[in-house]
Amino acid sequence: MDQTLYSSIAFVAAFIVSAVDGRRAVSWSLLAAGIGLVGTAASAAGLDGALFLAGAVAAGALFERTSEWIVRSRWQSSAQDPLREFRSVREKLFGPRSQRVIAAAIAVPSASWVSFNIPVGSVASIQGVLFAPCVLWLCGVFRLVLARTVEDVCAGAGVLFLATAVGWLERTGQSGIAEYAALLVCTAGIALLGGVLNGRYLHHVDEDVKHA
Amino acid sequence: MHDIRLDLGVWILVGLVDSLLYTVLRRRRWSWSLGLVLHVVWTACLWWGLFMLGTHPGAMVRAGAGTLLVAAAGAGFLMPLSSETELRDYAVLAWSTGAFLYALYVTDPLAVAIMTGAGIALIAGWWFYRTPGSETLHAARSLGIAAGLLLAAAIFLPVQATAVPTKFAFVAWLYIAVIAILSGCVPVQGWAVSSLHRLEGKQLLLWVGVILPGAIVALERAIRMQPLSVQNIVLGTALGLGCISAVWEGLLALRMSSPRERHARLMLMDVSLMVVGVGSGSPYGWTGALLLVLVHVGTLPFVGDREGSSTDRVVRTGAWTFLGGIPFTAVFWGRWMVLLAAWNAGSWYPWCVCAAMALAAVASFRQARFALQLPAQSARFQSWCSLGALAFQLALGLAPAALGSAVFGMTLLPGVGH
Repeated sequence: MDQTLYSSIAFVAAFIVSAVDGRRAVSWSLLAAGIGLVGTAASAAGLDGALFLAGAVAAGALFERTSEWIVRSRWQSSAQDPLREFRSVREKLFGPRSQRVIAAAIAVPSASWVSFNIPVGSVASIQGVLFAPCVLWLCGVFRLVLARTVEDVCAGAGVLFLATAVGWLERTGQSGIAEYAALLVCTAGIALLGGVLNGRYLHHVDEDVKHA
Repeated sequence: MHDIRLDLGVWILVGLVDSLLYTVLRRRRWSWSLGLVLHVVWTACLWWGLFMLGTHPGAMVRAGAGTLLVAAAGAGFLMPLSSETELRDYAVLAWSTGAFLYALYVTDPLAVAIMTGAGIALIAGWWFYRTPGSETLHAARSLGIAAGLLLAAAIFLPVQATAVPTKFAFVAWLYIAVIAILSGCVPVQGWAVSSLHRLEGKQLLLWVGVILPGAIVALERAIRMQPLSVQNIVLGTALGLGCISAVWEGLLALRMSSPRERHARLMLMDVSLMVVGVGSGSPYGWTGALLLVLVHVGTLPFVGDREGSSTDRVVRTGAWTFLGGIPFTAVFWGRWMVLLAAWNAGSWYPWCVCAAMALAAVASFRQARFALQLPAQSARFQSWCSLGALAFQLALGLAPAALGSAVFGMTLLPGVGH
């Protein structure tokens, strides 16, 4: 497998990460980012890198669902909807999703420039290997910049940590696996937080339905 | 030599126990007393560690730890003044301070970045949890970006002395963006601009007292790990950005009408002066920056009309007068040190600092005049706390060398108060 294929997968993943919305946005964006980054992780640290990444994405999805279910059934607290928009914006030609996709289109040439001009760690001679983590990292940042809901913040932060972890692996190789794992744990933690926030709100909705 | 990890362990463990016991204690209405007791434990623990750190080779590490300690102590005394303080506020304070302290003591640049980012993210997340709204969402978003940039800068750190110049510039600009986001400098201006004046006292104190000193000292450490060319780009740009931002915020402080907004702008102006101090790379600048952190931690309860603020007329007028920078208060020393550092750096920098100081003085004295006209109404407990903190500010201004060396260590005080 070559870098061109990894970069193509990352390119598609970047647009999916930017486009997903809704209550499962964290899980879906982590899944897309994970697929986009797994090849790069495998080329940097072999099977360990790929397995750790897959584990983190699976754990993120599991944690989000489980924490949401637990909190929804047991937490006695009112909460705001993580999908509620906090910024009151007038109707515009481009909505939030379109803005994120445009940002992803800007991220692609930027990541390409970085990956061909800025060597990371000691792998200065290998050109283009940084494209996948860089484009997804930029998508995470843009998602944070354009965030209007809590779900957006969680999704952006999760992708950002995932891409940072793979970037670190590119820099250190097999020797940096501990730090890589620590960053992946942060990613799963963000998914867990997203689940808790959703669960708190849904518990509140359930209570309202029960009383009605 | 004393092992700081013991202190950190106790600090974070107490935070954990604290948050676990919260619900039980709240039912029995003991939460306020336990909060104070736990805070005394943290303070004693850190003081012990600091005195033992006299032999630590890094003067900045010692100074940063001292500032964090005093800021955390200040937060501990402000929180009981606030009617809705939860013990979990203390836990977040303990954990975030612990994360920053750990960032001060490790040598691995990624660990510095992760711990600094974790401390920032913890506070941002807590704000959002306590007061969900557009301001806190904005704060969480911007602080998340800052943490991400910090991690990216750590990844791109050059590992070879012969790295290409583009790489130096790239890493340098990542650090500059982090500094601008965290300190609210132009042109980025970070999260602070839209949310600072809306935050309540204790939330604001976490930013002034914990995020700022922690992140600034940790950033300084991370930048010092870079090659000289990266350091020069970052510090030089920070110096210029800080000067322009200080004048800009000073002008805005003059224009604001509400005390909250004026206080927020003055605070941002002093933060810009801190950036100037750090960017100058001189010990004068560092001393000034750290003194300014202490000043804002000390005056926060009395100005800005926030929850937990004292409404005592005399104290509030005194605090606004102090913020104007009259000699010889701690604000005066802080800004004077930054001016000396800017003077040593040369060029147009000292003129900008002079202009910012003049604007801050006019804005503060104008607000002090309004504060005198307020009705005097304050609970006795609040009044005593306010007077105590104001007396500390005065003492810090009159004897900065003695008090400053106890907090920052001996090496960072070149001629203060002599």
